Amino acid sequence: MTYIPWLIWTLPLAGALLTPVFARIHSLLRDYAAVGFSLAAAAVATFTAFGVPRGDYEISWVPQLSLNAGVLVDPLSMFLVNIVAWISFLIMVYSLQYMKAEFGLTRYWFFMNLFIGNMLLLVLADNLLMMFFGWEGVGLCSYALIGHFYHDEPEHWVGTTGDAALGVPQAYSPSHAGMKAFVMTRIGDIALLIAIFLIFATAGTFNYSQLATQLGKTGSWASTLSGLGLLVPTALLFFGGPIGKSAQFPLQEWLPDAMAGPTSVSALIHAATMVKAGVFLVGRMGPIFFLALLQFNQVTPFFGTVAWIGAFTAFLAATQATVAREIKKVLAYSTVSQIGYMMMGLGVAGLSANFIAGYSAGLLQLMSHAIFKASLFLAAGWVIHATGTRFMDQMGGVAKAMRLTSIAMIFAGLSLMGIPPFSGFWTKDAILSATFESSQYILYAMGLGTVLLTAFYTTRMLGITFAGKASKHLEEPQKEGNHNSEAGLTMLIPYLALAVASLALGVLYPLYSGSLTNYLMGTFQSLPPILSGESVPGLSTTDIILLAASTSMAAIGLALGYVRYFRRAYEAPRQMKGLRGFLWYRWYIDAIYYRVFVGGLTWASRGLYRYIEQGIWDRLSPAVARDIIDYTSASGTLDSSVVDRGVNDVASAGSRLSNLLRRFQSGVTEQYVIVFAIGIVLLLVYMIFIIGAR
Amino acid sequence: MAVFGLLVTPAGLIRRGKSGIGVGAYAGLAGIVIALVSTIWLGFNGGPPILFGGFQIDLFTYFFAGVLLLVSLFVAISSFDFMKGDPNTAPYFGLLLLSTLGMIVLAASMDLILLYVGWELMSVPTYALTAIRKKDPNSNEAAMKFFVLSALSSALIVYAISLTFGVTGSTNLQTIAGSLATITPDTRSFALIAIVLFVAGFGVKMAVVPFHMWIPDAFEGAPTTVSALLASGAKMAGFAAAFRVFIVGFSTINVDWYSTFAIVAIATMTLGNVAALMQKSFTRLLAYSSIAQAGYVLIALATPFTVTTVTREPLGLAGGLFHVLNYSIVKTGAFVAAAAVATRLPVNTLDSFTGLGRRMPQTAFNITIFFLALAGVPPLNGFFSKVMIFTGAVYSPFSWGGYLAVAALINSGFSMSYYGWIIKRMYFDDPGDSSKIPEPKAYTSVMWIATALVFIIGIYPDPWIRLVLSVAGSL
Repeated sequence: MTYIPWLIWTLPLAGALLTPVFARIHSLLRDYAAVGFSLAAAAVATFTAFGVPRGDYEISWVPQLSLNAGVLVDPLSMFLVNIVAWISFLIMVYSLQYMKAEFGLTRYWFFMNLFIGNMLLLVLADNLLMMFFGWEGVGLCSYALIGHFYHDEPEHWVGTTGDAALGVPQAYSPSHAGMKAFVMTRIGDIALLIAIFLIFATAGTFNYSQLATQLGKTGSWASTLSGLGLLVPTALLFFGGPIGKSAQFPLQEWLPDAMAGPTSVSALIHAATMVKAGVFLVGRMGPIFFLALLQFNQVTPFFGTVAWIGAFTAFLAATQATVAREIKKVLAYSTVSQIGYMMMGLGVAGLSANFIAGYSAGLLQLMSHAIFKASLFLAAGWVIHATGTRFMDQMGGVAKAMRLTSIAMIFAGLSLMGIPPFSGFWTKDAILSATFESSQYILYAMGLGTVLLTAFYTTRMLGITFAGKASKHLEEPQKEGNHNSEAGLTMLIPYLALAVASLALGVLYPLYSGSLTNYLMGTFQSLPPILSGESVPGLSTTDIILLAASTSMAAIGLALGYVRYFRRAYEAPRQMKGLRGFLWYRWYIDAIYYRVFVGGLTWASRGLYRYIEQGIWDRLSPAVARDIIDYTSASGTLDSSVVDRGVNDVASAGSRLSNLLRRFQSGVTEQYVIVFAIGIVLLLVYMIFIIGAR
Repeated sequence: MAVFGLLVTPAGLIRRGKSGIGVGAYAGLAGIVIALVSTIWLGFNGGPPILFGGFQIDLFTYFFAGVLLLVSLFVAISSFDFMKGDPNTAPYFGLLLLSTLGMIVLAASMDLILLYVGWELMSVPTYALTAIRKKDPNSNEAAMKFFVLSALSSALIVYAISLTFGVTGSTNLQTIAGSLATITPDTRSFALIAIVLFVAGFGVKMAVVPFHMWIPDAFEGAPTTVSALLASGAKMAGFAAAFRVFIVGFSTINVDWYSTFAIVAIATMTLGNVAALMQKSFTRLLAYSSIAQAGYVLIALATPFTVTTVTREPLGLAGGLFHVLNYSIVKTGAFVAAAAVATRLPVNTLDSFTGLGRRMPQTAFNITIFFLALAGVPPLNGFFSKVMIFTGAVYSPFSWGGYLAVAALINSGFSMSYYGWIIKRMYFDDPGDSSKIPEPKAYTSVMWIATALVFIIGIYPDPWIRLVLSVAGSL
């Protein structure tokens, strides 16, 4: 039995490794085997959740550093593993048809399975180090998959060509977008790595449960860090990783451009893997940090930061979604915004007396978001494919041709808006009421405002795409009798099933939410009992008012969007000015980053290199430099006056030699020796006057 | 001693076998293989350290001999294709073996005089190897620069040895350690000067900033396989010498001279990584990345021991040795890959690497693995040695250990940017010409062996960590 939990993440990895082998045999075998491995992983995940007792399934890994490798089976990991594995499987099924005509499929299947395997490893790992392996693997795979269309054909770009903010082009090629995702998340990763390292240095272990049990003892890692004044900084650095991976402010800019990848990849990144990794990590370490910080009365700085960053990101991205032109970009902004909600829920958990309320709300939101966002992306993928454009203003009226797709998208969209009885309604409301009950009224107001914006931009997207008349772009093919049609079943079933699941989970929510929350609370079994709290808040008058408030906000947003985009024909605005421009250019954050960081870093490192490695010479030995110039000009005169045309070949041989000599005598070697000498002198000074004087 | 006998014999054979190109090369290869096998066998079955004059043949010697012979084996195999058609093949292999012998002598010496002999035996053949393409001005220029700086370093080492002798009255490292323990403050300054001179002298080979300046030029100008030898072999031998001299000889001086290494380590890592980002040529990029890697090993010299209340564990030192092993494998592989590209395309521009994923799939894949290993991406081999070095720094008795570790971590993260940049170029950028380029077996076999080692060590590091811990203990 002990090996079964290991299979969950090793199966997709094995699938990835076998993909090139199967590709040799037959391309169909390769495709179906890849899907098969992800199905197997999902099946084992479900079996493990129900049939394998919880616990830490460890094996010895590097005894010298007392490192164990292990798979942790507990409610949190099982909850997430099942979401990840099953949604990934549906996306893989969808890919069978969606990617059919594309090139580089062996690479595609390889990285998809590798991606899923690494994500499952990340979730199942019982210690921070293994988690980090998965974390890095996920980053690497996302880089490869976002850049899948590395030929950078214009139709795979993201953004409007020719668009520029503050002189920074706002359209990105797939390979650029992949790089951007990688570099930007890497910033967070370094912070995370430092935090992991600090924790390991003080605790001597990477293992989650050991970290938790150590907290009860005297001289724990938390008290050591706290004594150094490093406990809150460590927690915040740790949060840096999730900020990067889950695209939270200030590292949110990579996600909208990650749309350059194939739509199935976007679905995987947004619904099942990558961005959920950050939320999971906060969910995993949040309780441990909470207990650690509670001992030293430092809870508010950390959880306050998490909640505020979440709320602000939710609002920021929702405003940007209201003006986006590409359908996938609306969905991308919406993911950033929704993840912000989850972070807000997890942050609020630490700020209130009832930890479990915010905590479980954040995780349940993760579940419902995974389902409806996967559905939205997969359906949007088909719409883009069928209409041949990624811009919404070139679509219009496609509902007639694809009824089922539009129904799926409307269902999932209603769930995103938070309209009852869809699942998104319940989970979003849970976060908002947890926020309200922890007396964080400003955060609550931001959340409520975001509800309105969410309903508005979702209705806008649905209206422009599905309602009204076909745009000019679509008219011509239609005249030729080339009507858009419904997707094939292999593609239709995954997103339709997810949309229906979103409805069903919403209708049944009152029945299962209590027991699911109780199940999730089981994660804290090994922790001291501070984290208890009433698991299912009863339906009080306050709750009913809160429900009414959020529903009416969503209704207002929906109505505004309906009037503006369903009832009237959509005209794409010509100019991006004023508020619209501000939102369109993402509050100019992206452009400023490029200017300051990319430009600045290039400038600084080029300068550093030039001054340290090259430039310094002319300053240190002006005499040498002058000699070189004299010598060069003298030899130049000599060459031109003495050597005449008749001995051309001699001259060219000679000048080759003199070139060589000049490089010798230009002082390069001398300079090296000078540096050498300076280095020795500096070291001697340090050694004798600073060390020796002690 | 069997090791040396075996090495010298084929070296002599080659001198005689000048007429037939193949004979010399195969004899050299056989010599290396025999020496490598017997080193490993002796390493596992050898009893207590053998003392013989200035030689001390212990686990440390076997470890470095193994690593150096592996590097020289890689270089030799890949040279079969690289030197094809060159009239100087026999001398080439002879010099390669002689230089390797020098490196091993260096790793086996317990006496400063013998150490110097080993140092020169290692260096002199490499000057000739760098200039072996007599008609190539770049090769000659590189050899010239290398020679000047290297001669300077030899002079400094001699000076440092004489200072040490003046202070302690001995050239035997263990005797030196004994007398330095009771040194008076008057003479201590001279010992400290000797340390600086040793750092500068060894630093030339170890690629320590600011004694690194010849490296990019030499690596670019020298035949690429020779660069592999310089980057991995000579550098590791430099570290072997430094480990012996500083850890055995000078560790007894009761002042915090270790911080010198910390400063130099930070400068080396940072300059290496920043400059690497700016390079337009692949070999120069490798050169700067190898400078950056030297910085990590220097951390091991700065914080070799972790001190708990009871024990003194050589965790950092073991990490350094482990990194030496990992680095040698990866860097040699990377240079061999560069050689594979160099024989077909102009390697000195990075444009040759555009779209290499399609043109030379095996080479591109292996370069990707090597780069990820250099960046310390788990689960490849570079990850664990870095973890050990950084942990050693954190647990060191010095207050600055933690800062050093953080600086190294940031550097390590930063380095991913230029490695990632090359990987992007190879796989995501479109080459104008995407025709396949043949990849000779001589190179690919070396690369695949190196990649296999990268994975084996990375996924199951336990036996290797046990090995380096006992090597560090034997010092």
